[in-house]
Amino acid sequence: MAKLRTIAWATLREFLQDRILLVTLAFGLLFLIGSFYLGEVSADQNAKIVADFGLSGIGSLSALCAVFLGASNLAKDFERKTVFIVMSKPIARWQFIAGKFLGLAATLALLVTLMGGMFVAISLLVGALVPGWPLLLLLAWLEAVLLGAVAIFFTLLTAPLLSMVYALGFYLLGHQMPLVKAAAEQAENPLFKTLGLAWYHLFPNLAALDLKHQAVYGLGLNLTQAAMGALYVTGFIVMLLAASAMVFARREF
Amino acid sequence: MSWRLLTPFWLGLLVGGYALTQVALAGWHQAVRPMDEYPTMPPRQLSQIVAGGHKDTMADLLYLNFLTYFGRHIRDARTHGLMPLLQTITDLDPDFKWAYELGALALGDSGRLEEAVALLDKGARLHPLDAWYPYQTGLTIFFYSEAYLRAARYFDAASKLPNAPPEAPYFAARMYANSGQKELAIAIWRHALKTTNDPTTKKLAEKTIKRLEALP
Repeated sequence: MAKLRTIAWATLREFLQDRILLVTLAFGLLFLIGSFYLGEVSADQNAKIVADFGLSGIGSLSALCAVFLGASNLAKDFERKTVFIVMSKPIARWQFIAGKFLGLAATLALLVTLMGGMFVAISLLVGALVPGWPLLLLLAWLEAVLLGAVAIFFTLLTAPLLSMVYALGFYLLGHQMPLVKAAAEQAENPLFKTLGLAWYHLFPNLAALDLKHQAVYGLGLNLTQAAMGALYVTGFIVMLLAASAMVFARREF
Repeated sequence: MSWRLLTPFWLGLLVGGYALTQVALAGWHQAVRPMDEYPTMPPRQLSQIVAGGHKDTMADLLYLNFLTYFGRHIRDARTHGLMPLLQTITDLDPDFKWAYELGALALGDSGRLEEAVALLDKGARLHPLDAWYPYQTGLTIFFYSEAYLRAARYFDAASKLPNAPPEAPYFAARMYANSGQKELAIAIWRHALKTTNDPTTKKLAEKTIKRLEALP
């Protein structure tokens, strides 16, 4: 556990020194201020615009940041050969991957908390804070963490740039799962139907983690959906990390 | 020249180039404005795919576009782009009530009553238990045409839904009366007489029923 904590802490410190985090925060702030301005010119829809833009901004920026940090950090370790120094110490390879992941998860938690704080401040300024916002931020963080795990996994298999592209593809596809399901259900070809439904059940449905619409309209948050989605995504993260550890264990230096 | 000096140079060049491009584009946009804007929207399914997990935000952006588009064209009557824009907004965010309301008003103001009704009908199809949509359709028809019977049917439909505005049955009765449907108007006033506890409304209902019955 101490080894994991050390690697995670070192990774977090490394990320905090990275400019990308500051740039993302600056973009987040710009996005939120922009949403405030757009709300002012929206013919009485300030609260909705601030909530939609704010939550979308936090979700997409933290996802992008997760992909970038997840892919670049491990690649940098390989490139600068710092991984050799770490591996020469009594640290198991799975601990290295898990530590890196925990460091990334902590960084993303910090990022989402800071952007969430700005979002809450601007929402209070408009006078309409979305109900259930802590849950929405938690789900945004979970989605980002999943993408970070995907980026780490692909970085072990391929070049960092390709890994980012794959992880972004994963993000985009994950949000299209309801469409995949609808297309599969409507398909007349049984093979297409089976493949579509199999894909739907195997691929993480990121739309299940998206409760923005329900929260903004005060429709009542579907907590069962959120809990099931979170549980499923957590399982997927564990699976990805196990696969990453296996790939890393077979890697020859 | 060192990198320290070169970086601000390239950055300045980039920002300057961007600003110049924007100015050039604004001029070009001014030149083409007399032509059609939004002659078509991207296919509606495509908008859903592109928006991904940010459908409401995309709907908001299009809604802001709708406001500026309507503001620009309110006088020159080139408002054919309104409906495709509103269709896409309500596809992306089917619960965006304000877009239905403002959209129907904008379409009505532009002399596109049928499109306004179609937009609100779409909202009613998606929210069959919400009285607001048929009620709003009744109001829109009443504001922009003299089709009292058509408006009355919408008010009547709204009055039968759980969260109906209290005035919906009276509006329906009034519209039926205006359109010459005396029996329907009397039936609604009788229903109001039975269900209301308000003495003023009771008096009004009794008086109106008497007046309507006296009509040939």
